[in-house]
Formats: sequence, structure tokens, C-alpha cells
Amino acid sequence: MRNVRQGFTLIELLIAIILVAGGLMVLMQLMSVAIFADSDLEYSLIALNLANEKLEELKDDGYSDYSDPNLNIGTHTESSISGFDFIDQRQWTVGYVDANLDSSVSDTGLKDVIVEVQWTQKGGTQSVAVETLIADY
Amino acid sequence: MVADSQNADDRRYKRGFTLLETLIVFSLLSVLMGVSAYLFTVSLRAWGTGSLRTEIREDMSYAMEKVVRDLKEMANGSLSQYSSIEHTIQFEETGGDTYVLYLYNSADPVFNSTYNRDFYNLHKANINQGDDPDSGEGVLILRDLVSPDASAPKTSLSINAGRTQVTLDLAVQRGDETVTIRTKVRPRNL
Repeated sequence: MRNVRQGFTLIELLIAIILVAGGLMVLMQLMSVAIFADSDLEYSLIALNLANEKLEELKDDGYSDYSDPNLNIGTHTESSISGFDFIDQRQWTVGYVDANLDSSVSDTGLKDVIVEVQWTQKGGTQSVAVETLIADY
Repeated sequence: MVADSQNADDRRYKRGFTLLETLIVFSLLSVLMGVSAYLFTVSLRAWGTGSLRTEIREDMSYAMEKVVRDLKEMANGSLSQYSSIEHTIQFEETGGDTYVLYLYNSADPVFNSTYNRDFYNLHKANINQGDDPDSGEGVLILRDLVSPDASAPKTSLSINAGRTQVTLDLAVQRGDETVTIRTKVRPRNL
């Protein structure tokens, strides 16, 4: 009877406070995860548009414009894009493909172009890539 | 005697916290409350910022999609500026109507090439339907674009020298938040 009427002890209260604090921490963590997920989307959108920008530029270059080496076979790298500091690099790879879209050593009149944009976020490298074919017409 | 000892028992077991204990608990609680209130304010602010940026991003996605699609699928005509005004794009759609993408601020009495307002809206006017850029007619595509004459980030619509490509730089600012996007479009039929 006496024990029942005793109420909380100091220790019990401290434990309760610690538990409440732990709960609050988890809640805060969740909020920050949601907020970061949001900015992920923003970076992806900007990077995707920058990848498309390069792709459209390359489409305008012409299949075998030797004055402009952007569509030469191989990998081309831009290490920064002015105005978009968070971008680490924009890279595009050009290769010959045959009529079955398998990669080819010789020129059959079709080039495959992949543009990849990379940026660093949450300590890791993120990237988006777009791909197209350019024909010699 | 009996009553006295009972009273003593009651006093002993019904006692609450000592003053010291209460003080310790209250100070711990208030520190905890203070810290969590601060964190909560910070995260609420970040949340607000985040949702504002999301809103801007959604609007920009829509505008980008619309403009890029229109320009990609334009009829076999030519890209030009409207009345030689910078940051305008005049193009023809399949069906023969001529459209103009232009930046408009309702405070300007006449649509012109001096972009001395802080913000502009992107409109798409159908010239054949009689839409008049001077009075901001046509479809509103995107609001709150930073003036092309601002220091970076700024909005810019330009046609390349060969008139086969459009470069789009969109910078939207609402509150303290600015989101910028850049892309290029090469119309398929040119």
C-alpha cells in the first residue's frame, strides 16, 4: 500500500526525460531526411537539363564536322559548368554502332552518344545520363 | 500514540521530491525543451525553404517541358526574335500559326527591349490569333523570372548565330530562394 502511493523517483523521471529526448531526436532526423530528399530532386532536375543541353548541342554539330571535335569517337570531359558550381563534371562518350545498335569498330553511319552529368552529394557521387543516336544523313 | 505514529508514517511515505531534486529535473527539462524548440525552429525554416524550392522547381519543370516541346516540334520555318527584341523567340507551329515566347512585366506600358524591372513572366502569344505582347496577352508559362539584365543568376532566351538552336536559362526567384535551370533545344525540323 505504501509503495503504491509513492509516486515517481528521480531516476524514473531522468529515464523518462532521456526517452523523450531520444524520441525527439528521431523526429528531427526524419525531418532532415525529408528535407534532403527534396534537394536531391532539385539537383537531379538541373543535372538532367544540363545533360540535355549538351545532347542538343551535339545533335547540332553534324555527324562528321572535323572543325568541331565534339563528336569524335571517345570520351570528352568538361570539368565544370559555369553558373552550376555543384556539378563535378559533364562527360560524353561517342562510339560507332551498327544497324543493330551493337558497338562497332568501323563507321557504319551511326554514332551513339551518352552524356553523363556528375555531382557530389551526401559524400557520394550522383549522376544522370542521357543517350541518343546521331545518323550520317 | 497510535495516531502519532501513523502520522509519522504518512509523512514519511507521502513526501514528494526535495527542492534539490525538483530543481535538477526542471533544469534538465528546460535545457531539453530549449534545445528541441531551437532544432524545431531550424527544421521548420528548412522545411519552408524546401517546399518553396519544390514549388519553384515544379513550375520550372512544367515551363521547361512546354517550351522545349514546342520548340522541338516547331514547323519547318525559322527561329527569329520578335521585332528584333532580345530574349524573345518567334517560331511557327505545325498548322501555320506564329507564336512568340516573351518576357513581360505588366508595369511596362509597352513591351520593349529594356529589361529594367526586377522580375518578368514568360508568356507565349499566338500572333495569328491577335495576341498582343504589348499588353501581355497569350498563355502565362512561368512567373517570377529574374530580369535578363540582372547580375547572375538571370534569365536568358537566346537563338544561336546559325538560328538552329535555342539556349534557355531560366532563373526563378521567390522570397529568398532562387532556382536556375539551363538547357538547349534544337528544333527537329530545321
